[in-house]
Formats: sequence, C-alpha cells, structure tokens
Amino acid sequence: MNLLKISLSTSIIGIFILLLIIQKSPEKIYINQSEDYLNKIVQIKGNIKNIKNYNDFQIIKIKDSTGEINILINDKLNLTSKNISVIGILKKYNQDYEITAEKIYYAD
Amino acid sequence: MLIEIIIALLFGCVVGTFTGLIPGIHINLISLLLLSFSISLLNIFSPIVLIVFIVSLSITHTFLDFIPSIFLGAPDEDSILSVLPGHRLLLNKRGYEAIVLTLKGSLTSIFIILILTPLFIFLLPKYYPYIQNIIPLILIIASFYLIFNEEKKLTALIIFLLSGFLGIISFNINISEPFLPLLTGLFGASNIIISIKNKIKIPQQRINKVKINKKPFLKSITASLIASPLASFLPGLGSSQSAVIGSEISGENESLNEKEFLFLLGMINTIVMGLSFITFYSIKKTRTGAAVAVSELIPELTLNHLFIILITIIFSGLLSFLIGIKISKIIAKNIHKMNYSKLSLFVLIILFILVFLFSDFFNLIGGLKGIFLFIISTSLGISCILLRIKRMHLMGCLLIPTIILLI
Repeated sequence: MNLLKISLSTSIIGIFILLLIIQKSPEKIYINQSEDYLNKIVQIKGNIKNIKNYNDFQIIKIKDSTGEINILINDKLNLTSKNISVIGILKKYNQDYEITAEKIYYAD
Repeated sequence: MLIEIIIALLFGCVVGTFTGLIPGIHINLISLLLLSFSISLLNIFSPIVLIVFIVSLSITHTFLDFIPSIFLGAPDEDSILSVLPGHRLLLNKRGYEAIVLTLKGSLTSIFIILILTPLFIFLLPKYYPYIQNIIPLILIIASFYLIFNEEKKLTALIIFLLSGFLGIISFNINISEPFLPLLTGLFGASNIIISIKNKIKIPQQRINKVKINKKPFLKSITASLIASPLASFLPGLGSSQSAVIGSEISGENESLNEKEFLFLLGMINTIVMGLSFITFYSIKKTRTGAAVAVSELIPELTLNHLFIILITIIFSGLLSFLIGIKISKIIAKNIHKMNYSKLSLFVLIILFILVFLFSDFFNLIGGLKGIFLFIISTSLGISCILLRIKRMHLMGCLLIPTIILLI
C-alpha cells in the first residue's frame, strides 16, 4: 500500500513538473546546426526566400546567414513580413532538414 | 551481390539476436540507430544489401525479444500482456515452454505474412484512403472498448489518461529518444522493481517437448488474422491491445488459454513487423521504425525488392527460431542458479545508463530530463501493477497523442 501511495503521488506530481519543464522556450538555433537538433523543438529566425502553396498546406523556404531550410505549415498563411521566427519540430524529409511549424512570429 | 546479401542476412540475425536479448530495448530505437549508421554505409554497400540486413535484424529481434520479457520480467510495449501468462508459466517451472510458444507463434506468422502479402498489395491501395479518414475514430472506439472491458473501469480510465499526459509530454520534452525512457519505464523498469521488491525466486525449469494441438491453435491463428492488420494500420495500437481486440472480435477470448495467448502474441509481434514492409511497398506508409529505415534507403521499392525482402523474412525467421530455441534452453537450464534480485538490479542499472546516454549523449540537461521522465514513467507503471489494472492501458501514452495529432 505504501509503495502504491508513493508511486501514484510521484507519477502525478512528476507529470505536473514535466508539464512545467516543457513550457520552457525551445532552443534557438542557426540553420547549419540542424543536424544536432533532429526531432527536437527549435526556434529559427530568417528571411523568406520563397513560398509554395498546396491544397491544404504551405512550404516556406527561409534563409539565415548560415543556410536555408524548408518550413512546413499545415495551414495557408498570408505573411506580410519577410523576416520571420519559426518554432517547430525539426525533421528530415528526403535527406533534407525541414521544420514542421507550430508557431510563426514576425521577427521585426 | 548474392554473397553480400547472404552475409547481410546472417549478420542481421546475429545483431538481431543481441538486440532482442537486451531487455527493454524496442526495435524502433535500434532502427533509428541503424538508419544513421546505414546512410554512411551507402558508399560501401548497395541499398538492397543494407535493407536485407535491416529486415533480417528486425525479424530476428521480434523472435527473441520475448526471452528477456519472460525470463527477466522486463517487457517492451509490444509484449506487455505476455508478462502475466509468461511469468505464470515461468514460476510454474515452464518458462522454456512459454518461450517456445512465442517462437512457434513467430514461426507460424511467416506463413501468415506470405498469405496476407497479395491481399495487402492488391486491396490496401484501394481501401486505405477510406480507412485513413476513420483512423482517429477507430482508435477512440478501441481505447474505450478496452477500458470498459476492465473490471475497475474508472481506475483504468485514470491510468489511461495519466499515460496520455506522459505521452504528450514525451513528444514535447526535447530529448533525442523520448520513447526510450517512456516505454522502458512504463513497461520494463516498473516490472523489475516489483520483482526486486517481491524477492522473486525462480524455480528450476523443466525442459519438455512443447506440444501444440492443432485445433485450439487454429483459434489463435484466426484471432491473429484480425489483430495483425489492426496493429499494422493503426498508429499507437500495440500488439497486445490488437491481440485482445482480435481475440474478442473472433469470439475466441473466452477460450484462449495462456498457451494459446502466448502463441498469438508471438505471431502478432512478427506479423506486424513483416507486414510493415509490405505496407510500405503498397501504400508508402511506414508503421515501424525498421520500415522507416527501409524507406530512407530505397524510397520506391520495386517488386524485385519486395521479393528479396520476403525471402529474407523466411530465412531469417527460420534461423531465429533455431537460435531462440537454443538460447532459451540454455537460460532455462541455468536461471534458477542465478540470484534473480541481483540480476534484476543489474538490468535496472543498465536501463538507467541507456536512458541517460540515448536521451542526449552530449548534453547533461537532456540526459537528466530523460532520467526524470524515466522515473515518472516507472512510477506510473508500478501504480498500474499495484492497482491490478492491465498494463495495456498504459498504451494511452501513444494512443492519446496519436488521436490528438490525427484529429
């Protein structure tokens, strides 16, 4: 019974602490650091190079001083500024890195 | 080329034997490591040779991963339900029999894979688009079905939801391999800690010839024909849950005894792996880490590639069966001589080290986050065992995030 109480309270308190931990802001990286952050949530700042529109998603190519990367957006946005900051999960698609965007901010 | 393929097949069996015997390590983790390793090997070997190695390794792994699950009590999420019937047989001096049953199940699954292959090739492309739209609904129904089948429904629901929270956290915790601490904690370390606490002593095992009566095992095969496609299509649904649903739908659950259930679990474990390659060929969907690795090496499989993959499945399956019988016999003969608590403690320490290393090799903070997630997952796994709730409800950790992602 004691072990049950300990394990159950550890689980519930631990889940709350972990929820607080994941609220922490993502790693801010440059595009050429992508290899080290695969499958992690990152924040990248850059200028929009081009936008490709598909039926229900958009792919935006952005560049910073170190390289270029595609951003996959499961929506269609009408971005009014060229300088953006993207938060999302860094993944690999067809040997190239890309970010599945969760949040996009205007950087200027 | 033929010699290279044969060597790759044999080498896959050897490596798969080692990975299968490491407790708590899931094949998806091995596949991810393999993928990064394989891409650098592309300069030396052709992609098909590397694919043969990956297929052979993953099939061998599915044959052998029941050995640590049953003998050491450290299951991965695909063999959760095996803990109860498997451990029951182990404590009844029939651990060897338990392993042989899962091995025979895995061996039988090769024939089932061959039977299902043409169906998957011709029918899946036609019907998958319709199935795809209702996957979240099927997952929700399956989750509620399993929860409401439990005696303590509210407790099962709470465990399912807590696991779901833990799953959502793991998807966002920003470490390299979040599923290693999550699944190893929920299904592996929790079981080990309980067995250390209970000071389990393993009796001397009997090595008998394991007889399988055809008629009752045909029931398991029928159940596997329903369960395997479920586990192959539905993300987040593990082999164990599919086994329960399959045996319920086929109306066989009442009469499936522990021997038949172990046979069924062995079958589903290997069928899901084998069919994941066929599914990738027919609809380009990758349900397992090994299939992801294959898709990265050859994005467009041809019929010739598929033929080589099927031959690899057959030969690696036959070899793994023989290897599994030999190894389980050696372990069964000697396990009573070992100090089970010390052995369990040793395995627990190994799991801690693996979690720390794989969470973030170069970053202390990442490693500590992994360890913390591992401790919380282990606590939830222990709670589930002590509350006497079936551990398959802990699969909420994958099901809830998947449902949220798909809706």
